[in-house]
Amino acid sequence: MAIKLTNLPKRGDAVLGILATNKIVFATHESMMSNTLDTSVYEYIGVVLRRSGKKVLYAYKENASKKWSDRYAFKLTGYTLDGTSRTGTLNVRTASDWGAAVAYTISYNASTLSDFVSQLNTAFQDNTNYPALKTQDWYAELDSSNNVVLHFAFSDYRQASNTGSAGFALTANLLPNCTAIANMRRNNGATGGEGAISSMERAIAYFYSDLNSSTYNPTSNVTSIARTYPICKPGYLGTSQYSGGADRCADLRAVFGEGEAGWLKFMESCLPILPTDWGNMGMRNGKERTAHLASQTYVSNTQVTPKALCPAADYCANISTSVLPKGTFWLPTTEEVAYLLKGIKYGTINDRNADIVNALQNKMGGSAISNGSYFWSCLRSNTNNAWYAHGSYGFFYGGVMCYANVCVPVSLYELP
Amino acid sequence: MSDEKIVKKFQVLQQKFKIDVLATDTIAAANAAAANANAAAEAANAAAGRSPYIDDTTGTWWVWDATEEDYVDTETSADPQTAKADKADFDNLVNEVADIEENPSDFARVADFESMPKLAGQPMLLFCNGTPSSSNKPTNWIDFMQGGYEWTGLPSAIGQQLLDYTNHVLYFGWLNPSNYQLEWKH
Repeated sequence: MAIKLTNLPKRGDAVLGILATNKIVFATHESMMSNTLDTSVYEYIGVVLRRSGKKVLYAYKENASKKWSDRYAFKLTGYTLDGTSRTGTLNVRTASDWGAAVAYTISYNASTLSDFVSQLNTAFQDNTNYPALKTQDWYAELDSSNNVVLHFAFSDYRQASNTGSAGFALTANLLPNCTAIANMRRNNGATGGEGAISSMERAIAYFYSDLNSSTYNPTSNVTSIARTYPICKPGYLGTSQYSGGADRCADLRAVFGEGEAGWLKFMESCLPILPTDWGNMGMRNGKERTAHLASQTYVSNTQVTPKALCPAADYCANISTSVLPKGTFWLPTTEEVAYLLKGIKYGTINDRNADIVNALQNKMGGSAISNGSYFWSCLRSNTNNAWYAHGSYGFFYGGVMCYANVCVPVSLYELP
Repeated sequence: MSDEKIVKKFQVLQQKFKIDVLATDTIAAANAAAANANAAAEAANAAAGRSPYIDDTTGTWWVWDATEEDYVDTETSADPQTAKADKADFDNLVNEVADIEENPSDFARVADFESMPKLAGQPMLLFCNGTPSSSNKPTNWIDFMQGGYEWTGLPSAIGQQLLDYTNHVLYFGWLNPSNYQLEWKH
């Protein structure tokens, strides 16, 4: 049987590029699995995740682990530019003990902003007096509104807790034009931030056992089905050893049912509503958001030429293939991450062929998509965090931007 | 049919049904079978050369029906443009079926009032006895256990409508761009 092309692609089918014409075509999963692709005619681009009407959502064959943001930034205020000797203190979290701040008092004598910024940058390179500022590559610059902005290498979530004192004040100022929203609506009526299930397979695996957490195993009676977080199975069934033997979820069971079947129905109620225009799941312009993030660059005392501030977005926006130009792919939205992970069994099942998406990727030499990985979205959830699918809990979580997580470039193809 | 052909046909039947040519009743059966074969062969002979044609009046293809011993209308248009349109309709139908297969959880599929097209899994037009709120649910809202999701007092999609039939107020869903939250406006 030859490779069979289809005009009606479905999940698990292959996205191919015709090298001679630079056109995209789709090939059925079955025919791809039983044939060897003629790479003199086609290139394998990726795998179909979903088709809705004429819109085909697909993932690029490869993915990579990248930080959401390379730097953290504060706006500095409180300084006085009067040409006299003054000081201000930066209380900085350092790698020697991220839990405690080291106070660095910086002297300056400036009457203009540019002088002040220049003196700050001189201090930031002083390895004797301010070693952590040097190590973290602190850098001062003026933004377009003449605010003094300090930014530095972002590697631990506690760096967001840096403060200014005694003449300096710091206000978080990372990507001020990137909207932060934390609002997902679940089937059960709950709204708000993290807790909506991103991978049912992973969530079932994690919440199956008895968890010693009041968040996931209520210690008071649950009277509303509008739950923000899932509940572990023993807690739901009233058999947990951590709730003091008390049955906290009888009201839930009266709605969703008894036993494991009832618990699974309850878990379904913790899925985000898809599709909806509500909150993060309604934020669908992933291409524009990624392009905006990818356009952000920085320079510093050690980085002379502009460098991408948002590696995750930069990675996706710069993917190109033999037939597709840069800008075709983007870092997925939370809605697209939800569609990516729907039905992914690899991870909870240790078999690269456990689901149709991974089976094709495996056959074609593409990257694995495991429900045990942490997948970045292009949506920001708050000042320091962006949305990702949590690879342990199986729900959407606000992850600190300084950490590297899996970026799966996605794109939409409109059928003729 | 010539005698030779009848004999040959009989030999085939003989082998097929393992007829015992020495038994009288089977000889009778063989004679009957031969007669049937003869009739079938004559019908085939009659159909030979009767090619399909396009009827000037109907503009459709007509084919020979051996049972009716006459030409019958296939109702398939011979007009290439019409056929093309038919093909497009068929392709659309195939697309629709494939859509349902691919996205069985998508809601908007069929149309009578009860199952009219949905917005984000809920009726496009909701009916509510009074002002909508978290404690005042529209009568036609679809709860989670009925295949939808729970009512929160707010719309589920931009453009969704809600009729407060007590106060005669029509609301519509609006997205507040500052927080991406849907609200009712009227």
